Amino acid sequence: MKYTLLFTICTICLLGPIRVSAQQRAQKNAGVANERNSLSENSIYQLNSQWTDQYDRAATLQRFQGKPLVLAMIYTSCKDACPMIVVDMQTIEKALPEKVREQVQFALISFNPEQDSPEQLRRFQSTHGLAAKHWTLLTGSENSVRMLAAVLGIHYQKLPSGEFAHSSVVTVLDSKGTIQQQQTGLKKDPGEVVSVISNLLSPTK
Amino acid sequence: MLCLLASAIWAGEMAVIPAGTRVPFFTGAGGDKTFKREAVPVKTFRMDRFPATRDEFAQFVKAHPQWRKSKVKSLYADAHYLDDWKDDIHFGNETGDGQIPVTHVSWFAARAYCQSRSKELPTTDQWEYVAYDGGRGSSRNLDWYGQPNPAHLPKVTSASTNGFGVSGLYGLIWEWTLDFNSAIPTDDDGNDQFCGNGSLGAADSSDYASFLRYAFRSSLKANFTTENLGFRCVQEIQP
Repeated sequence: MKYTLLFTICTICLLGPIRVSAQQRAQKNAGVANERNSLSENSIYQLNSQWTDQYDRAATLQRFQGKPLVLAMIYTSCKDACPMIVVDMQTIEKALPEKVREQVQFALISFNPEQDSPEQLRRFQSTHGLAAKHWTLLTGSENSVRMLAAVLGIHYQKLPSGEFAHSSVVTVLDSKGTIQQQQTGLKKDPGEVVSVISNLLSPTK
Repeated sequence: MLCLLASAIWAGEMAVIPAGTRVPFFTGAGGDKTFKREAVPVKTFRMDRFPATRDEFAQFVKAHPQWRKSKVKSLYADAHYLDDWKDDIHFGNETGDGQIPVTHVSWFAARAYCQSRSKELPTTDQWEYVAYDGGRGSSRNLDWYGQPNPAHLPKVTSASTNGFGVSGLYGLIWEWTLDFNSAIPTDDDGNDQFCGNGSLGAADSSDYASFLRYAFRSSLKANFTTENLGFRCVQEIQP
């Protein structure tokens, strides 16, 4: 039997500084609901998941709506595959033409809510030199992780050692949160993803 | 008093599963030759004695219109969701059809159903623990796995019951688990796709039934639906 895996990543995350009155919040929720209704049926932004970003701000995936997103799920203490996933994403970032790059978002989402606090995410961002302008790092509840992994088709398992086994996938989402491409495996040539993203942003689209 | 309590529990729709331990079939600990495969504790919990039926699922979709087949989003269920139903809230007409397991349901729909009853899908560990009868029995009966799907599924009450008072864990349908996607596949080139490194090791390579279930789960996606895949729910027991 052959197991096929699929994985590349793109994704979205989002958030919103949420220090608002109840009334503002209600208006905002209504707005999010309306925005969600305008999404396609298979948009990942349909997911009602809650996250916290590297600045300790509440975030939702809908926040990425409007621009393409390149996304991967990782955990910061991972020594093997995760740093390579990040390098692969940085390779994509560098390979994008500058004008395109300015319109693309990058997100890393943690498998490990217990260990990956916003502070830890910030440290990871700094260690890997991820520009704050383009990169969002998110941590969320176990359930949010489970739901996101499910819609992305990512397999993962917490091991007795505390490490996580997981598939290595970089996903590209379009501005409405629909999966456009998934790159599975490590040390991949960025050409295909770059071409997919460039097409998403081409004026003829 | 204890007897009364036990019989009351037995009579309910859920069976109480006592705490125990189980040795996971796959550990994901592969490459490390010094790794010792250890039993993991399983806490006590309640499990539905039968898989969810069409009758029960029809009640659910009536109360939760977003899970009717005309309304469900493709992110949550593929085009074959409730494929064998006549319309949004009605399945077939034949006598007894309501008592057969609901199938053609996605992981998202199964979870939503369980959550609507303050329950959840079982973890793979919980499901396999019960399937092995907590160590008393074996789930190695391969007969069912080798048979073609029947044209008409039998009623849930027709399946055999194990020592926990749970029926039909195999012999009827395959069942969703909460962490069905914890099975880590390799890619087409045979490369491991994960951080934990190494290949997966089976606890008992002679247990082909477990292997079949593991392989089946690893092939699923959360919005998949198929004619022989259903589910049952579990509930935590607060200490």
